[in-house]
Formats: sequence, structure tokens, C-alpha cells
Amino acid sequence: MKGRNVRIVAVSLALMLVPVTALLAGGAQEEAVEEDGRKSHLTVTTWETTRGLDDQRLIAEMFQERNPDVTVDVVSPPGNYVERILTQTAGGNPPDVFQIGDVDVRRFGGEGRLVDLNSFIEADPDFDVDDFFGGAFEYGNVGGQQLALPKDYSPLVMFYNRGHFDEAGLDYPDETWHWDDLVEATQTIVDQGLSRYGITFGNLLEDRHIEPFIWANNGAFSNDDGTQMTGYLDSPDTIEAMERIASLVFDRELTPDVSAAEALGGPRQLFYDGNTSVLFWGVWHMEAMDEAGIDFGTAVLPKMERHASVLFWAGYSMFDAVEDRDTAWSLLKHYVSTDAQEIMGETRMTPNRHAAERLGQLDDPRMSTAYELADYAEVPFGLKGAAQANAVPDLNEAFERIFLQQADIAETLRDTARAIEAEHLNQ
Amino acid sequence: MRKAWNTDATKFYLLISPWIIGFLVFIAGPMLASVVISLTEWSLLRDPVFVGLDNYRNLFRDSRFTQSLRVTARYTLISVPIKILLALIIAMLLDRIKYFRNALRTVFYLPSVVSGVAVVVLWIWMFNPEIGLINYLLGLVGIPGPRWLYDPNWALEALIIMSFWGIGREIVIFLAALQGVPDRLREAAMIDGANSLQVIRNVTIPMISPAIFFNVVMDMISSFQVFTDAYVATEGGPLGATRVTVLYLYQQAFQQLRMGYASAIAWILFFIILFFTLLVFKSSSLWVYYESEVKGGA
Repeated sequence: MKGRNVRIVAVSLALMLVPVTALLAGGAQEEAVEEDGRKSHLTVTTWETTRGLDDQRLIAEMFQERNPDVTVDVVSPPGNYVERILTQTAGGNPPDVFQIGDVDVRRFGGEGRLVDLNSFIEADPDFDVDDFFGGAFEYGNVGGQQLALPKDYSPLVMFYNRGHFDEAGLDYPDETWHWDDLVEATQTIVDQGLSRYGITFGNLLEDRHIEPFIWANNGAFSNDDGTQMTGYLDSPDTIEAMERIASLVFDRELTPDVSAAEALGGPRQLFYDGNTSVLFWGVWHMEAMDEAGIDFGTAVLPKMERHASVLFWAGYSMFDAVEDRDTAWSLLKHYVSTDAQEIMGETRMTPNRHAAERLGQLDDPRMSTAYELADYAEVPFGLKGAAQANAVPDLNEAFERIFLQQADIAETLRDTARAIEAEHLNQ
Repeated sequence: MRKAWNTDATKFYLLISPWIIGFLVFIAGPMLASVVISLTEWSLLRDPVFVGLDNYRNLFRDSRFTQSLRVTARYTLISVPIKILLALIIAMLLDRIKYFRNALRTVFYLPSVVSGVAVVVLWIWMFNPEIGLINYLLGLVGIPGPRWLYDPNWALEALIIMSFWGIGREIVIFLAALQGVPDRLREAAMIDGANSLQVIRNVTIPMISPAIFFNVVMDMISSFQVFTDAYVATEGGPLGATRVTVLYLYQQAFQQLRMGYASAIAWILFFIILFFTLLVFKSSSLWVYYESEVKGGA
């Protein structure tokens, strides 16, 4: 019996020792990193997985070969990426160089935690802003501070099923097409039974998928600096553009509503399966579309009064807690360099002009359309500041009212403008 | 003579120490920290700024917070009684059958061990207005199904129906309690002329009332804390119809970067749950029957 008691005590002690041992082991690992003789150690944190993560590791290896006194770890935290960055930061262990979305550049920048890269850019003779496509570079600039360098991006593009247009005897859409031309053409395709739907939006309930069409009709969600919505969100031009989209869903049934799109696997799947002739979305889907064997083309978004588009963008930022900022700048610069972007650009649009040329993307008709469209991109409401970013969920509720409840468009937009101003913009 | 450390008390504390350490580090510590955080404005990116009781004051002016409380209360008020009733009926049926009881008990319990997210994804498809199983079955009997998760008037009801998926835990507890009811009590009541319903009402229910009490308390607490279903299925939409309080807390903390405000929500919710739990405990003397208390009092 006594022996049994001793065993129980031993087991419980062992259980208690597990976390202690784990902590000690962690410490030992840290020491090992510092003892390998290298001077500097940096991490690159990314949300990428699989191919994207492999690319980033390859780029880090390239950097280490050129900078033998630096070690770089590429970390892809599991779970919700932004939550991990936030909790890491709160725990006193913020990342060094990290991938960041366009909204978070504003939010993190608003809290003053991102290094303004302007001084590095100005002091570095090897770094040339002109190496980048203008729009993509500008998205990392907030109030004159360059808080991020562009990693990759895409404008909202119009994908069309070439087979549907061929069978219906229609010309392919191009930059001369008006919105009404597109509606008429896709109506013909649907009427001939070639496709179930004509036009599918990436997400009818999300501001960024709607805003370019509002701009195209000379409307806007807000004034230029995002501080006023009344007179913009409820302007006749904005209302008219929203009515055009809503009529596709409710009157013509050319566009699937949200639940119908989900029932058929989501907007992307609708296009893959030939259930829609046109899809508005980003170029990062092109690789999968090619793999699915779809015969598709790309075109600029149809104009109403003018052409417009919006960017989906990701970049790299430097956290203000980084001690060795010069080395971090070298790393950051390396990740957007032509050599690195040539690796990343194999599967997506690159913001680096020379990488795009080397990859032949500017000669590829489908990809070059996307680069052309990027020139039409404007800054969406949600990127005009931290308050505007926080107001986006309220704005999206207006789209829920319109597209799920068929609420009166003018009234909904007017009420939303007033509510957002009161709650977010006039604080 | 035993050494001072070699006592039963020492062994008890030693053996329970992993739990005590875990409780102090992962539950009590964060809870105390959240009291302090709730008195600050903290984005997680900058040092917190002390704001006193501002977060609590602002909460009661926040229409979204009060809406989330209403949504949560409605979810709890509808889902808990139905879950208890359904579980009780199924447990009674299982208690009656002679064959395959264990197999059926396992079948009913199995959904409880399936991952929450996987279950919600399954239900999203079941509730799809166009191709979902539920509207298909309703259509067979001539009922046009609603748009469920896409309709603000039906989305919360869809989440409530989803919650019935996990009643296996309640069923197992009720079944164990039912099997502990002595046959002689039922037989005595029937000899005295009671019919089946009277036996259930006057013998079975009082005898299993501690199990009902336990299930009510646990279900009430878990339904006040519901999160995964709303987070995965609707993200609180459409139009906030499923924005339950814990989801609102999460959105404030990690989407709006208002950790202090979110902590204040957590404490308000804690006191609401505590109030209703104490209320149920207080009422238990009126409807929960403990055999041991009667024996002790006799």
C-alpha cells in the first residue's frame, strides 16, 4: 500500500513537472538560436499556408544566403491571423516583419505601432518607388506615412465564360462595354439556356464588392476623406447604382441572391460549374480556374458613367518594437524585390513592375487586363481611416437590408448614412 | 510515526495540485485580470488607459449590446425548456425499451462528441432555403420553408433548432436518473389506481427532479454563453438577429479592438448568468426532491 502511495505521488509530481519542463525547453531553444553565431534574428509572420508559405520560406532562404549574419524564421500562426498578432503583441512578443491586410494597416497604424518607412525609402539608394505599380504602392500609405510595402494585390476584375459568349454568338466584353451592354448580353445567354445566371458578384453583402459600381455611376459612399456620408451614400447617383444591382437580383433574376449562390456552392463555384456567365472577383482565382479547365477571359468592369475598380491588397509592415530596424528594412525590401516577387508572382499579381515583366504577365491578355484595371482603382470607404474601418460592419448591414429583406434602397441608405455619422464619424 | 508530509491531506493537495494550478493560472488569474481590463481602454496594441467605469456606463447606452442581450435571452428562454422536454421524452422512451437500449443511448449521445464547427457547417447546408433537407421535407407536406439563416425573422430559430443536436448529454443524465427510480414506487402508485401520466407526474418526475435541476442549470449557463453556432453560421447576421452576447463581446475585442469594453461585457454577462443560476437554485427547494434530505429529516 505504501509503495502504491509513493507511485501516486510520483505520477502527480511528474504531471506537475510537464509544464515546467516545457517552459525550460522553450528557453533552451531560444538560447540555441542565439548561440549559433549569427548576429541578428528576425521573424516574418504570414497568414499564407501551403504554396504561399513555401514561397515565403524560399525567399527567406535567399535573404539568408545573401546576409549570412542574419537568421530569418517564417512563421504561419494557426487560427485567426489578426487575433494571433494582437495577442502576441499584448503578450509583449510582437512580430518583426509581418504580412498585413489593407484594413489592418489603417488600424495598426492608427495605434502608432507600425514603422513609417519613408525615412528608409528616402535614405536607401537601392530602393526605387518607381519599381512598383503606383496604385499598389499607394495602398500602404496612410496620411503620408508609408506604413507597408505591397506584397500582392488584385483589382476587382470581370471574369467571363468565353464558351457562353461564343455559343450565344456574342462578342467578348471589353473596355467599351456599358453596364447595359453587359446586362443585355448575359440576359441573351440566360434566355438561350446556356447559363442559369448571367452576372454574379463576389459578395453582395460586402462593401468592397459593391463600391466600384457606385463609383462607376459617379456615386460614392462618403466624401473624399470619409468624414461625411449624408449627401453621398444617399445621393441620387449612389441610389441609382444600387437600384441597378438590386434589379438584377429581384426583377431580372440575372444575379443569384445570397442564399441561391450559396446553394450552388458559392459565387466562385457558380462560375466553375458554368452556372454564371460573368463573375466579379480577384485574379487570385485564376490559377484554380485554369486547373478547373474553364475557358475564361477577363475584362475591365463595365462602365455606367465611367470606369472604376477597387483593390484587394496585402503588404508587409515593420512593427515598432523591432530593435534592429536597419536589418528589418533590408528584409522587408528583399520581400518586395524583383527576385522575391518573381517567386510570389507565379500564382498572383505582383506589385513589382519588373517581376511582372519577367513573368510575362503584362503580355498575358488576361493578366494585363487586371493590371490595366488597377489603374481605375480608388480608395474604398473602409480604408479612409480607423473610424471608417470600424463603420464597415454597419455599412454592410445596409446591404443585408437591401439584398436579404428587399428594403427600400433610398430610405435604407439615408438612415445608414445618418447612423454611421452619429456612431462612428462624429465622435 | 508518519512523517509530517506523508499525510492524507498532503497527498490530496499534491494530487489535486495540477487542477489547482490550472485553475489559478488559466481561470482565476484571467478573471481577475479582466476586472482590471474592464476599467481601461485597451486595443491590445498600446498600453491600456484607465477610464474608470466608462465602459460599463457606455454599455447601457449601446443599443447593439442591449439587442445582443435580448437575442441571448430569447435563445435561452426558447431553447432550454424545449431541450429539457425533448431529452426527457427520449430518455423515458429509452427507459421503457428492453432491447438495443445501450446502442440507442450511444446513438443519441454520439452527436455530442462531434466538433461544434463541423456540426454547424452541416446544419448550414440543412437550412439552405434552396437545396436544404429541412425545406425539402417541409415542401413534401406542402409547407413553403422560410429562408432560415438568411431571414432575420427565422435565423435565431434556426440556431435554436441546431442546439437540439446536442441533447445526448441531457438524455444520458435523464436515463441514468430514470434507472435509479425504484420500480416498487411506480408499482405502489399503480396499485393505488394511478394511470401512466399520474405515475410520471407524481412519482417519476419528482424522483428525477435533481437530474432535471442539473440539466436546467447547465443548459441555461451554456445557452447564455452560446458562440460557435452564431459565429460560424451567421456571424451575428442577418441584421444582428443572431448577434448573441458572447459573439458581440468577441467582435468588440478582436474586430473593434476594444478589449476593455469587451471585458465589461463579459462581467455583465457573468452577473446575469449568476443571477439566473441563483434564481434557479433558490427555486429548487420548491420543486427539487432529494431523497436523502427527507430521510435525514425523518
